[in-house]
Amino acid sequence: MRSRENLIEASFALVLALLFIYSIVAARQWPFNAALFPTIIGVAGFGLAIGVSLVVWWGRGNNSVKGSGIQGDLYLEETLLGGQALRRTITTFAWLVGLVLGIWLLGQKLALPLFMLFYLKAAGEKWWLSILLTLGTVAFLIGVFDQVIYVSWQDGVLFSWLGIDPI
Amino acid sequence: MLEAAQLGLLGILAWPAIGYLFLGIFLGIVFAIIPGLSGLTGMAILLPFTFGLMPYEAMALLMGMFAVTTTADTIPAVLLGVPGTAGSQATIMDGYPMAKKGEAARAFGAAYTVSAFGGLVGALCLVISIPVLSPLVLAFGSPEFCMLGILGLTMVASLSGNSILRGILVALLAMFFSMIGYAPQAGIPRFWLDWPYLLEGLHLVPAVLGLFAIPELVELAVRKGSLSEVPNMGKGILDGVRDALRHWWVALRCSLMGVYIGLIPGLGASIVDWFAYAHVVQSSKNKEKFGKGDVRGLIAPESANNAMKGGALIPTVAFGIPGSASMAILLGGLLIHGVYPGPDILESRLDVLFSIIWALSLSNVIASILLMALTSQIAKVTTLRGSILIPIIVVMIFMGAWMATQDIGDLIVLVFFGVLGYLMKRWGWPRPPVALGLILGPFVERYLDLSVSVFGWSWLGRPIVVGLLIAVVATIVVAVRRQQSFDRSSIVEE
Repeated sequence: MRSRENLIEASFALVLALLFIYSIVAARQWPFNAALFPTIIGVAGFGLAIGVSLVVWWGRGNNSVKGSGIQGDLYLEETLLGGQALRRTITTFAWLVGLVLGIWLLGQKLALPLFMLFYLKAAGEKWWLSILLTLGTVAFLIGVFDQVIYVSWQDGVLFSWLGIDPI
Repeated sequence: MLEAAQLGLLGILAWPAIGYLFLGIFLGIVFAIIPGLSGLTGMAILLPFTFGLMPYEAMALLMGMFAVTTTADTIPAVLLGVPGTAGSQATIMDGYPMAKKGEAARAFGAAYTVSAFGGLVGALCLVISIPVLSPLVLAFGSPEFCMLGILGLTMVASLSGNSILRGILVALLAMFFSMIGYAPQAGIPRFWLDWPYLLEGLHLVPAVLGLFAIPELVELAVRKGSLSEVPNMGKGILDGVRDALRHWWVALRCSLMGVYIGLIPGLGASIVDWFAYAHVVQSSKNKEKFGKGDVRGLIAPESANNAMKGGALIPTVAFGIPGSASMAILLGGLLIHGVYPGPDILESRLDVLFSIIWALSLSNVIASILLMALTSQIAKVTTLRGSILIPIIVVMIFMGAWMATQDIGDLIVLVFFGVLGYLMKRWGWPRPPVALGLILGPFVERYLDLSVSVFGWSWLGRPIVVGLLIAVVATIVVAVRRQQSFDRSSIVEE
C-alpha cells in the first residue's frame, strides 16, 4: 500500500533524476575532459534515480524508519515523527535559517550571542543562566576566533545599509 | 639506525621539546573537541610559531597536535553525535547510540585504548615499512587510483542494508555536488548557478557538519531533555578497555587498513574511518547490531584513524608526497628547518625522522591516558539539558562551518545539507556515501581524466584495474545477497 511518505520519497528520487538530466544536458556544452565525468555520473544517476523512485512507489525496500536493517547510518526514532514532532522540527530549522539571516544582517559577533540569549529564553531557561552563557559565547568568539585564529568576520549588511561601522 | 632512534628519543624527551609536546597535545585536544576546527587548522596555526624552534621542538609541537586530534575528536562524536574532525564521522554510528544508552564512559574507554594502539601500530609500520611498501605505492597509476576510489564508494554504499540502490544513488548525487565549481582539467565553471561562492566548489566541512550534526541537533530539540538520562560513569571506562582487548583482532586489522589508506595520497582521514567501519560490518556476524551501539563499530574507525597517521607519514618523508593537507603542512615544517624528504631524512637526518616517530607514539599514549582520566568530568556534558546544549552546539557548528571559506555561503551550504541530511535520515537514506562521494568525487574525476588522456579506454583492461573492478562487483553482489537473506529472516520472524 502506498503511503504519503512513499509518495514524497518517490518524488524526492524523481527530483534527483531531474538533477542528473541537468548534469547530462549542461555537460554537452563543455569540452570532452570537462564533460566526461558529469555525463557518466548523470547517466548512471538518472537510471538509478528512476529505479529507486519505482521501488519506493511500489512500496518495496522499506526505509529504515521502522528499523528494517540499515547498518550504515543512524535511525530517526519513530516517536520523533508525529504531528507535534514535525512542528518542533520546523521550528528548529526556522531558528537555524533565522540565524543565517541574522549573521548576514548583523555579523557573527552580534548575531550569535543574540541567538544564544533568545534561544535560551525561548526554551524557558533562567535569566542569569541565559546571560552567563551569552557572555561565554562572546568570550569564546572573541578569545578563540578573533584573537587566536584571526577569523575574517561577516560584516552585517544592515550596518552598511545604515551607513554605520559594523561591530 | 638504533643510534638515530636513541638520539630522536632523547631529543623529544629533553626540555623544552617535551614541554612543546604537551602543549601540542593540549591544543590538539581543544581543536578536536570543537567541530570544524580539525588538526589541519591547528597545524596551520602552529606552523608559523615553529620558525624560531629547533627541529626536535618543532616536530614535538606539530606532531603532538597532529597525533591526538583523532583521539580527542571522539568526545563530540560520542557525546553529541557531531564529528570533531573528519576522522570521526564513522565513530558517531555506534559511539553516539552508546552514549544515548548511558554507555559513554565505556565507549571512551574502548576508543582511547584502540586509538593509542592504532597510533603505535602506525608508528611501528612507519619504522619498518618504507623499504617494503614503496614498490606497492609506485605500482599504482592513475587508472588504479581511479578504480580504488570507486571501490571505496561501493564499499560504503553497500553498507546501506536494504537501501543499496539508495546508497549508490546518493553517492552519485554527492559526486554531482563535488563537480560544482571550476573543472580542474578545463577551467570551465560547472553547475555554479551564477553564485560566485560556488565557483570554488562545495567545501567539505559545512557539508559534512550539515549532513551529520544538524539532524542530530534537530532530533535533540524535538525530543527535549538531555542527551543521556543515565550516564553510567562508574566502571564504564574499564569495561571499554576490556572491550578493546577482547576485540584486539578488529583493532589490529583496522589499524593495518588505516596505515595502508594513509599511504595512498589523497585519501586519508576523511575516509579511513568509513573504510574501517565498512570492513568491520561486512566481516562481522550479528550485523544488525551495528548502528545501535555495537562497540566494534567504534573500535574499527578509532583504531584506523590513528594508525592512518603513521601511514600518511611514509610517502611524506620517503618521497616528499604529502598524502593530505596536514601532511603538506608538516612537510613545510620540515623544509623550514632544513630537513628534506627522501635520502636526506632517511640517511643523514634519520634522528629527526625518529623524533617524529617518537612524538607520534608518545602523543597517542599520553593523550589516551589524559583523556581517560578526564573523561568522567567531560562526559557530564551528556546530562545537560538539550535547551542548553543546542545553542552551544549551534554556535560551534556555525563557526566551524564558517572556517571553511569565511563566506556566508558556508552557512547556507551548512543549512542546505542539514535539511538534506534530516530528510535522508527520516527516510532511511544512508548519509555516509554522501560524505565519501564529496571527498572522492574530485579524486576519481582527476584520475579518470588522466587515465583516459594517457591510455584511452584501454586502461580498463589493466590487471590491477580488472581486479579492483571484480572487487566492486563482488561487493555489490554480496551486499544484495546479504540483504535478501536478511529480508527472508525478517519475514520468518514476522
